[in-house]
Amino acid sequence: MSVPIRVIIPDGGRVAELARIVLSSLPLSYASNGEHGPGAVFIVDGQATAWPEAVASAIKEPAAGVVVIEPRPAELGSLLGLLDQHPVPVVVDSRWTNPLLPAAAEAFATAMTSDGRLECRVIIPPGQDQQNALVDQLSLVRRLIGAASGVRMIFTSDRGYFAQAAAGGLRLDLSLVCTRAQPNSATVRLITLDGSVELFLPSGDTARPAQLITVGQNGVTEAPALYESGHRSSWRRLRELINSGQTTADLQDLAADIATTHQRRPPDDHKKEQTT
Amino acid sequence: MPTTTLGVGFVGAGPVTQAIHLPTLARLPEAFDVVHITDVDPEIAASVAARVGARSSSTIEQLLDDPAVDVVAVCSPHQFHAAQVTAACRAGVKGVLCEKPFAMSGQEASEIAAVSAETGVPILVGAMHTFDPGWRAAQANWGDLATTTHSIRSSIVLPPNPRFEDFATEVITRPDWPTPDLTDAEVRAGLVQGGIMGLAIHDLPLVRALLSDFEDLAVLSATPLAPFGYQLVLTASGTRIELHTVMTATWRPDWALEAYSDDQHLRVEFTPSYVHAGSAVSTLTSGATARTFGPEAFNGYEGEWRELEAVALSRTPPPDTGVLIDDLRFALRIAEAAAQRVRYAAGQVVAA
Repeated sequence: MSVPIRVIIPDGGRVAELARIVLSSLPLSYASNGEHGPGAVFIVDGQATAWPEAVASAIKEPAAGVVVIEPRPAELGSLLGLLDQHPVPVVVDSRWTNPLLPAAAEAFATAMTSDGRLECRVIIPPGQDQQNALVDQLSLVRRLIGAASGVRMIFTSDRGYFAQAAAGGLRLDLSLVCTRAQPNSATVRLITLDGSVELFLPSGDTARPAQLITVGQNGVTEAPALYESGHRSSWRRLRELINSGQTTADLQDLAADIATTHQRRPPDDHKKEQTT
Repeated sequence: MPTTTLGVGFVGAGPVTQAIHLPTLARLPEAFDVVHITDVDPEIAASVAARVGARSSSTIEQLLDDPAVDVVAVCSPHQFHAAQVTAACRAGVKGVLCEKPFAMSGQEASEIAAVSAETGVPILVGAMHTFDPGWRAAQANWGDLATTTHSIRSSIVLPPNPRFEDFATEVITRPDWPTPDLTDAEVRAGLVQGGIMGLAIHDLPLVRALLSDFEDLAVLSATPLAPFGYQLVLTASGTRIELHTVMTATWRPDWALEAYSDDQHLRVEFTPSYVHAGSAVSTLTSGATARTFGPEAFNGYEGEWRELEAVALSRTPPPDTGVLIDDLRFALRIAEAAAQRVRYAAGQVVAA
């Protein structure tokens, strides 16, 4: 049996609360005693403005690993440079992280042909940062299909957006709706010429299972339900990385997705297409 | 309880009459009796009429001269609707049910409305989802949703029609669908325009019911989808509207309309056309509370015939022709602007 790894949790706030919940469910993998020092795992609140600096400090400890919870877009150049010099596994626990993602990625890969169209639809409450939402969407698409590119905003407002992009050689529609009527969720659908793959993801805060439904010529297949929150799956992943001595490309991928959002094309001037 | 059985005359004997309306009327024997079917092809008219023991003819004049015809159902190709609805009104029938769209321009629609007002003959448009009891229950219970909706999404994924026509009846005279040349911008524009007037139009009156206005309507994106379909993003009165339809070789229909406000979400899941699989199921969600309406035993097609009966027998006021005209104007504006967008975008076709 492996020894629990010390976990350093930020003082107070939502992330501290989430961390306590995850810790209670992984008592053999992690332990919290609050003492800094080499060999600990650091939990970083990605919504804090200076989260890259917090990750950098952890890397310099040196940490055994880092989990960044729901990072907001930030400049990551110097952090990536530091990580090159001091390889430490850093897991990005983004909003749509879910234990079903590996199985979903396999289902999408199996169904994907050049004749298909992808949709990624997200629901979050009004008032949240929309660039952050777009980065989270791109991170999800990357985990399922591959990196998205060529994002073109078709419509934007304080209640959401609609954008078009490409991923895995297919057209990708990205939609955000801001409402309090439904819990946070993401739905990714691949429509092919003879079926579909649809993944429904709840927020990473809940152990409510994601749903993965594949429609083919022989019927419908639903993947087994995994009652594990996205946060817990991130911590488990980090422990496996530490045990196997591996690092991740999570921060590099995040930096690439942030760069993609910076390159997004704004909505056109549509007035000339209006009918009278 | 109905006290009178209404004689029905059909104008057009194609798959819609065969697979939708005749099986629907078989469920309403106390209300309706199909007495006359006309079609430009007299053999088809005779064959379809024989199924229900009706007379047949090859002109609308013969049908309107038949004293047993109380109500007329116009199920001919779109371009003939206006003239045939007008003729039926002039003949003084008790009611007209016209398949959507009931005209091909706002001008035609206004002229029809004027004839309806002058003759007192009520007109219903066969936009079946507007008569679906699952939708109507949502409408009756959604509170302020129609004035607070900021995002609407209609998504239709369907197998080709014959899959459901064959479950509904045994169809003759199925039209050929030649493979379109998608390299031609005009063909692409025509496909999108036709798709909106043929498929999106089922839900456009419902979308309009969730908008305060559409005078500032703008189509922001329009993409033809192969093998047949479209994907549109538009805005009207500050509301974002996504319309997506694709027909693929899937066996599984997926037809949903959703509306979002800050505090309410409506999802309506419709059953496929043709088959009598009951009504839509609507779910209104607000935070931790969800209310579900349906399924009822009957669908929108049966709903529209029940409504026609009530209107023809003066049990219910006729529909407001102003609403019908605005529904048509809304659809036409979207179709025209989308086609223009497709020409403007030049070249893009996306699979599925």
